[in-house]
Formats: sequence, C-alpha cells, structure tokens
Amino acid sequence: MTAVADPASTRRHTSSRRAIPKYLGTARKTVLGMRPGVWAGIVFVVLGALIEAATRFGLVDRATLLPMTEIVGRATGLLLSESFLTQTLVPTLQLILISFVLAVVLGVLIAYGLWRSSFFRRAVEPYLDLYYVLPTFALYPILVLLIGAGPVSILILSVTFSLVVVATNTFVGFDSVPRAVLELSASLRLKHGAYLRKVLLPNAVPAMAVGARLALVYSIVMVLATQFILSTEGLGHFISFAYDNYDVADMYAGVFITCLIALVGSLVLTGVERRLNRHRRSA
Amino acid sequence: MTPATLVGSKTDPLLSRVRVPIAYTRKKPRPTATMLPPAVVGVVLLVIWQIIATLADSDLVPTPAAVVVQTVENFQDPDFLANLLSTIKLVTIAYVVTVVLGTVVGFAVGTVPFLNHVVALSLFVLYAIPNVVLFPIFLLFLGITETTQIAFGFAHGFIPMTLVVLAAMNTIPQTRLMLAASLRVPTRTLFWRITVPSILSSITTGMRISFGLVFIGVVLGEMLFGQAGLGVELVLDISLGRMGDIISLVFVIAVIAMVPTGLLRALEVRTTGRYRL
Amino acid sequence: MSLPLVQISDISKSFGDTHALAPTSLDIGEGGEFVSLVGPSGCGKSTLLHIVGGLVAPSAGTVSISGEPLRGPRDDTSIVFQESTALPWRTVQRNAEFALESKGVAKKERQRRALELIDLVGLRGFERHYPGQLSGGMRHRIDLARALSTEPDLLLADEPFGALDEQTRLALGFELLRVISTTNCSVIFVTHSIVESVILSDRVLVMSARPGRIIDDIRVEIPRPRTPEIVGSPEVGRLVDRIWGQLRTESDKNMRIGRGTAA
Repeated sequence: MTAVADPASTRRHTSSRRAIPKYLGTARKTVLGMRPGVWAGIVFVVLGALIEAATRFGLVDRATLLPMTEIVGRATGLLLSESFLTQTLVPTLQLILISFVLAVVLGVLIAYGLWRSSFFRRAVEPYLDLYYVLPTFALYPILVLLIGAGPVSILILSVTFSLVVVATNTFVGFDSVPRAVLELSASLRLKHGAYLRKVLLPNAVPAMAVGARLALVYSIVMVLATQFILSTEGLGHFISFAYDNYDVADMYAGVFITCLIALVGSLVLTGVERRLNRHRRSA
Repeated sequence: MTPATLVGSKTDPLLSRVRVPIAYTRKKPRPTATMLPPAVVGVVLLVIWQIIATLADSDLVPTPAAVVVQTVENFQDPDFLANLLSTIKLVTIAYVVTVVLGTVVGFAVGTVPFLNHVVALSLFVLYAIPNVVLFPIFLLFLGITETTQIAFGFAHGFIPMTLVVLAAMNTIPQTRLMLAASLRVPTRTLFWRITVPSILSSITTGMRISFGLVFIGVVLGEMLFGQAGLGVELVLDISLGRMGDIISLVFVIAVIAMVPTGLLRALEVRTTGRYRL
Repeated sequence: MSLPLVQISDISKSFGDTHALAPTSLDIGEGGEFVSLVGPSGCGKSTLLHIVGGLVAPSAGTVSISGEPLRGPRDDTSIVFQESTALPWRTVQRNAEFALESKGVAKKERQRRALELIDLVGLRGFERHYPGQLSGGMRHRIDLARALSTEPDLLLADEPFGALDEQTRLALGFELLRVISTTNCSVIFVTHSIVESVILSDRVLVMSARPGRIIDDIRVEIPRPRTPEIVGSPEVGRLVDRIWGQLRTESDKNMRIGRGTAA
C-alpha cells in the first residue's frame, strides 16, 4: 500500500506514473523558479552571447556582423552624443510619438463611428482588408510630390497606416460587451454618455491596448521606413546612410537603438495597460 | 440612440450591436445589402478623385480613366508581365515557407504550455522590431539575391503565423486531451485526429493574415534592392514621376493580393464553421 | 464474495499546498454496481474520478482494478466528461466510432457497433449530423455511445449532465440506466445533484468539503429497474433528506473557506 518497502514495488510505483501521457499535466508557472518573462529575457541574452561568440571567433566576418559588445558600445556612444540626439533621435521620436497618439485618437473615433452606424460599418469593412495589402509606402512619393518631403508627409502616411489597426481592434472591443451587461444598461436606462464612459470604454480597454501596441509598432515601422527610403534626416536615414557607406558599426548601432525604442515603448504600454486592467483577472 | 429602449424589441439598438459569430450565421443577408454600402463609398471616392484630377495638373493627378488605360497598356507589355510573374513566384515560395514553418514551429513549441508562453513572449518582442530596419542586415548576410527577397517576405509573415498557431494550441479543451489519454491513442493519432483539427480554423486565420504581410514584404524587398518584380517597376515609376503608372501599379498590386486573401478568408470561414462548435 | 472491481486504498492528492483529497479508501463491486459520489464543489470528487481513470497520478496510495494495480488509463474503463467531448468536425457516427477506431478495430465492425449504440442511446436518424447541429443533451448521448462502444466494465462519469437543465438531466439519467442495464458495466457517477444520485445509484458516497473524505456510504434499496415515478417517492425523499443533512454542514464549511476564514 503506501509504505513502499521492497525495490520491486518501488519500481512499479514509479513506472506506473509514466503511463499517464505528458500532455495532460497542468501547466507549470515557473521553470527553475523563473517565470516565462524572465526566460524570454534569457533567450535574448543568449542571442546576444551567440552574436558575440560568432563574431569574436571569426565564424562571421566583421564586414557582416559585429560583436554585441561593440554594437552596444557604439550605440551608447551615439546616445551620449548631442548631435545625434538632437538631430536624429529626438526628431524621430517626436514623429513616432505624434503618429502614435494621432493614430490612437483617430482610430478610436473611427471605431466609434463604425459602432454607431451599421451603414458606415458595412461600407468600410471590405476596404479594411484591402488596407494591409496596399503598399502604402508607395503612395509616399505621391505625397512628397504633392506636399513636399518632410515630417508632414511622413506623419500622414504613418497615421493612416496605424489608425486602421487601432480602429479594427477597438471596434472588436466595443462589440464585445457581454449580453448580460447590455441588458443591465438598458434596464438602468443609462444615457448615452454614461454608457460610453461606464460600460463601453472600460470594456474595450484590453482590445484597445492590443490596438495601441500594434499602432506603436506600425508607427515605428512607417516612420523609420519612410525615413529609410526617402529622407535626409532621422534614424531611418541614419541606418540607410550607414549601410550605403559600409559603416557597419553605425548601422548596427542604429538598429540596436531602434530595438530599444520598440522595447521601451512596449514596456511602457504594457505598464499602462496593467494599471488600467488592475481589476481584471490575469489572462 | 441611447441603450434605454426595450431589449428584445424590433428596434432594439442593443441587439443590432451584438455581432453574431460567423459560425452561427445561418442565413446570408441579401447580396445587395452587403455590397451596396461599400459600392457607394467606392463610387464617392472615384468621383472625388475625378474632381481633383480635373482641377489639378494632369501630370500630377491622373484621372481614373487615364489610370485604367495605363493598366491595360502595362498588361500588354512583356517586360511588365515578366516582372509580375517574378513577384508572384517569389511570393508563392515565401508564403509556403512561412505557413509551413510557422505551423510546424507552432505545433512543436505549443505542446508544452510553458515553452509556448516563453516563445510567444519572445516572438512578440521580436515582432516590435521594424523589418525595414533589419533589412540591411539581411542584405549583409545574404547579399542581393532572390533568396534575400524570399527571406524578407518570410520575415514579415512568420511571426504572426506562429503566434496565431501558438495561441490556438493553448485553447484545445482539456477534456478533449483527457479523452485522447483515456483511449490511450498513439501520438500520431492524437496529432492528426485531435490536435490538427482542433486548431485548423486558427491555422486558416493565420494563413489569411500572413499572406498579405508576406506579399508586402516581398514587394518592399524588390523596391529596396530588387532586380526584377513589381517592386522594381514601382521604383522605376517613382523615379520617373509617372503618376499614372504608380497609381495603376498600386491598384494592380492590391487586386493581385486581394484575390488570394478573399479565397483564404473563405477558407477560414469554412473551417471555423465546420471545426468549431 | 467476489473480488471488488475497483479497490481504492489510501488515495490522497495534493496540488502544491492544496490538499484536494484526504486519504480515501473504498471498494466498488462488479457486475453493474452504480455508485454516485456527491459532495460540495471543490471537495475532490472529480479528482478522485480522474485518479481512478488513470489520468492523474495520486500523491499517495494505490488503485487496483480487477486486481491489477493501475498504471495509467485502462482499456476497459470509459470516461464521460462534464463538457461533451464530441469532436465537432466528425459526424455522430464517426464520433461514436472514434474509440474503436483508435483501438484499430476494422471498419465494418466498428461501423456496425457504432450504429448499434447510436440506436441504443436514442440517436437513430442523426448518424450523419454534426455535433454543432445537435442540442447539449444529444451531444452527451454521443459521448455515451462512444464510451460504451468499447464494452467497458467500468464507466466513469464526471458530472455528465451538469450543464443541462433539470428535466433533460433526469430524462437522460433514466436513459443512462436503461442503456447500462443492457451491459454488465459498473458505474462511478460524480454529481452535485443529490436527487440524481439517489435515483440512479445502488450506493451513494457522500464526500466532505476540501480536503475530501468519504463521510457516508449509503445503500439505496429501491428496486430496479428504476422508473420516473420514483422521483417524488417517500423513499427517495428520506434518502435525499439524510444526505442533504450531512452536506449542509459540509457546504457551510465550504462557504466559510470561501470567505477567507481558516478551514
């Protein structure tokens, strides 16, 4: 029974556990005491270490890849250089931020419109699929010819590209109010404004957070891409210029800084989202 | 319209806002009802375009008619057709690789929930890095070849595809797995008879999403350094300022991409209806 | 006295710090004994069932079925779950065949047996329907057909009618009795419905609040076959009253646990 005296029954005891398939086990919360987030961090550290090793040991030549430490070193140097900051980084960050904010605000407004008017929704829906397949950056040259190169055309392009994802996600959020809550609101005779503030928007926060995070990614992509292709300033241009001039160090440093921007932006957004969702169970 | 009307009445605005999931839709609304509003919007946009074109300099803003003419001319040009085929070829290869690898990785990683979580997090972080910025790295490693373009397209679609599959692996009902365990099914039966059908609708969703992304990735790659393909055409037109060609090309690209997207969406709806309760 | 079919000895289960199941021992007889497990939610009755089904390893103790110590899921045991496990992409018939298919039974044979069982559970005419087109109660019948297709000697049912309304549940309960009576299968039936447990079983095991222990083992002397008339009978009422009395104390304990007081 419970007291396991002889080795034979011990062996049977342990082997009996293996007949239960592995895929049935409950999901572990930590492995070796660390949560998934920490492990993801470890993944990136290992990646950096691999890059370091590959370059130092000559597996990849220095014209193609530089050691991680050198990349980080150069990036730090750039971040400390005033000219880089004021002429390249800060203007780019400003563009990204403005694009992001505009995309979120306009996206939410459009989602509201879609939600209010079913005609509008039916009219616009088919074009939304179309949106992601259009090479929108191809319209950039047209904009340049019409308005001139510069921040305004970059912003127009970036905002239009990013607001769609905010709109679609927010709309899904608006649509997801549980039936029981809808009926409760009706029975309480909530006025429209109150309904918006107390039910619709709070319910849509997780969906809006998803949209916002994507809008940030797309804003970064669009701003940097347009700077890359056709611009004379900004971080995107910096990377492109470095590539054209075979300046591998600057190029990778620029890429690294872009990754940092994306990462920091994501973390900030996640932090804000957590704050807003404090009352919810963790997914 | 405030929510304070009778729930259940015919004019209940609440009911009209409750969207019915695709799988439960029995009757399709009349075709005219679905097609009319977008058609109206389309017509309005065309009219606005025509007005702007008439008012502005014809070099800068071609009329819709001019664009149509240009498109027809392009399709009779063998060079254009060669570029078109080149792009289609590259997109197809990149797409197949994306779907297959995304699904395989999703399956392999998804079976262990913890691993699933770690990999999904890592991919999500990687996703935030703009591909365009990684693009010079691709060039450095792979040079200016077709493989680079395929890799670029792949890089655009792989992460969303894998994330969708990983998310789906988390949603297989535990009771279904317990059923399989209680029947002591061999692993391959579990895989083909339970796991794959359970996440098939998500796979088709991922297929639809990643197609557009892969397509754009390939075209973008062609624009940046390609030697053949629609991207090259586009860059040429941009550098020569041929507005009519640019707009025509943008629409052609959109249409070419829309056809498979439409088919994939139909596939997605079909599998969702059939493979989910 | 024949050997009991299922022998559970000092089985206990803990999930980390949570004690789900206190050391429990019981025996379940052969030849169609119908045993119910009733108890407040969270008392570990489902856990016990999963252990007997070989899906969960106990923290201590052993289970023997037909004299064999249990190592994992067993071929002659069938399990029916609270949610219907009818695969949505298969027709009713293909679902009923699923268990036999997994065991490698030949096509003709498994089709024959599946059709037989579909008829037995009252789904004749729906062979080509998909689960999505059927009601919840009908989906549970699919599960039952599949579970019985392997001619098990032990059927484990984990609150199988839990998600259904009262009338359907009672009706299906009597259906289950009718179907089981044609076999020699013993049943362990987990439920939170006291009435259901009395109506269906030969024995009712009452479990305490977490960590679950068996606090009573009641014989239901109502003769078989059981018919719907007994639902309001005094005999049933008496037994329900007795069980309810015990469970009330246990439920109170459960509510106090829920409010954060130390249990």
